[in-house]
Amino acid sequence: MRKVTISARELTYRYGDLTAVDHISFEVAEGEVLGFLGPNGAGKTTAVRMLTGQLRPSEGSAFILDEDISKSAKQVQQYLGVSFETTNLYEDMSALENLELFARLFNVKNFNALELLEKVGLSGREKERVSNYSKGMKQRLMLARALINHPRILFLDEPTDGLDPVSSQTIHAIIREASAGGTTVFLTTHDMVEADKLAHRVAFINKGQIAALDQPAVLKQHYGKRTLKIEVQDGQGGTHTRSIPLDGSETAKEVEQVFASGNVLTAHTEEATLEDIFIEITGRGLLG
Amino acid sequence: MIRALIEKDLKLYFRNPFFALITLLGLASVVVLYYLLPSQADDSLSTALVLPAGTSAEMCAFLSDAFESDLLDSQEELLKAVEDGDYQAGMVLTDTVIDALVSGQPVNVPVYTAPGTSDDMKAALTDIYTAGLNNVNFTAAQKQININDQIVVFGPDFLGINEPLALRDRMLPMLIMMIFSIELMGLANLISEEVLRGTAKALLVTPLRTSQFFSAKMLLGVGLAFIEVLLLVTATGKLLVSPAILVTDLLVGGLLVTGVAFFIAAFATSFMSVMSWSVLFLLLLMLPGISIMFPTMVSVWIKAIPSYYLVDTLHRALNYGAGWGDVSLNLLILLASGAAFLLLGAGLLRRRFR
Repeated sequence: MRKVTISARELTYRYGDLTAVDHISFEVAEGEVLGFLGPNGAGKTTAVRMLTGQLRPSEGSAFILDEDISKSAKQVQQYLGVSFETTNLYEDMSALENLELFARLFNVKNFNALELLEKVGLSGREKERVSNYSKGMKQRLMLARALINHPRILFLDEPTDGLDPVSSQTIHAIIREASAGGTTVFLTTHDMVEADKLAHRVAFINKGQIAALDQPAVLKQHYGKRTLKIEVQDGQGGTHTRSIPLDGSETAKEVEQVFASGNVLTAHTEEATLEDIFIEITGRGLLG
Repeated sequence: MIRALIEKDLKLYFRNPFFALITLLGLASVVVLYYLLPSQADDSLSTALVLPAGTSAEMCAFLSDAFESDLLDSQEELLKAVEDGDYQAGMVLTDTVIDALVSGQPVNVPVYTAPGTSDDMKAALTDIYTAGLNNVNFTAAQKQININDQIVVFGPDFLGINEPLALRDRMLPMLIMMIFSIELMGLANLISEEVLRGTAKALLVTPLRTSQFFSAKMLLGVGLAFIEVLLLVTATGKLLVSPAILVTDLLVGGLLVTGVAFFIAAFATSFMSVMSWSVLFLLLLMLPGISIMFPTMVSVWIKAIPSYYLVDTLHRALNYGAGWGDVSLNLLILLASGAAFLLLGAGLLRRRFR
């Protein structure tokens, strides 16, 4: 059994009267990618800030690498890599200078900034001021910064939000590589497709509480409805699409009838997305 | 870690074209301004006198000496010279006036003063002319006026009565405060940007402690402010006047400026906000410098502004050779104010990191 690296127990945070994170409990194992999904304001970032030692929980506790983060934040942070939702780089310094500064703070010996920059696709522009970088380049540099200390846990807050497909692919590849190397990845996102692709398990967070937590496939099987979509030619030369639930009692009969008409153009099955399941569980969309 | 942060902040400070420019330009301008100001105090009063035509040469010399005035030829010439500021005051003595004086009669003589002369100065001029007129009277009556006008000053002569201070030396504490103020804006902006751009958050999820973050900022602020004002003092040739007190005062002054910068950064929400708060504090902190330039014009409440203890110490040490005993209370108050601002600012900033 793999070692647990993150353990949240009844973790709670209140901003005055507002409970941003409400008694959440979960565990994440070494090398696992956990997708932490929810709409804006659901409590994702507050949870990450507690797990990384930036905020002290109002109630409950979080154990990171077996240490209570509220009590030993600085010891634990030595092993964490954090990439923030909003860009927070030193824009008047180069990528190289940004990385060298953080390498010194982590006391990383034999640090090869160029190798790291090449990994995130920024080699050749390492001496340019970050203010000249595109959003995607900045996001990749933030990821490089989070990887400087070869972290045992990587916290990524919306790492691909608003990025071009190439930048997103680069970041996805790095997440997979980190996970394969034994790094736990705590991925906060509201991109369900990304979570579906990368996460071993996903947690749906809504109004500060975890509404569901499991492997994407299990969630789909449990909550999702599989559908057969059939495109049919009608009598006037047009087309229309029929959706037939595959789990219904009359499914076989309905499918037989449609195909018997001889007007079927295409047919394919469609499974529920994580977004559909999120809506079904929480009654709200991810952008709400 | 602290060293890494200081090196980073120095890079960022001087890569900001605005602050790099005003720092270097400000320092150069203040040094140039210092040397452009008069190096000697000119406290003399220049007055003029018009005597009736036909006054004997002996009488002209006597009256010119009695009034310590230059002699002009006509009332028109005198009025124009006074109006142009060539003389601070002037008086016209007619035959009637001189006759009345000689015979011991009271006289009524107008005194013309330059535009903008203060009431205090007008009163002083009137006294001088009255003394001169009395002197003429007593001389004519063969009785010399005999007034003992020796002035004794206890302690350092802060009014400059015995040895008048050159304007530039009187201004030096305020010029030093100006350099401190430039530094105040730069440092407040640097700290505020760490908060506004979220870079402080990135730093504080590393093994760097909040106390180390603040220590780095404090060392940078005090160091930068100290070096800048030290350069100014060196350039003005005042460094060796009272080096130990000077260095201590400038270091503690740097602490005060850094504390105020922390305080501003804790409130500022943008670059413009930093500038607005800085200007407000800058004006307040500069006020005590004015009290040095015009000692009688400022009320006692000026002592409620912490920078008073900085400029007052500078003024006493640089211009009057004051010793530790004279300035130690000033330095203590300054240190306490600096520490209070620093702690308050750091406390408020810490709240913003959450």
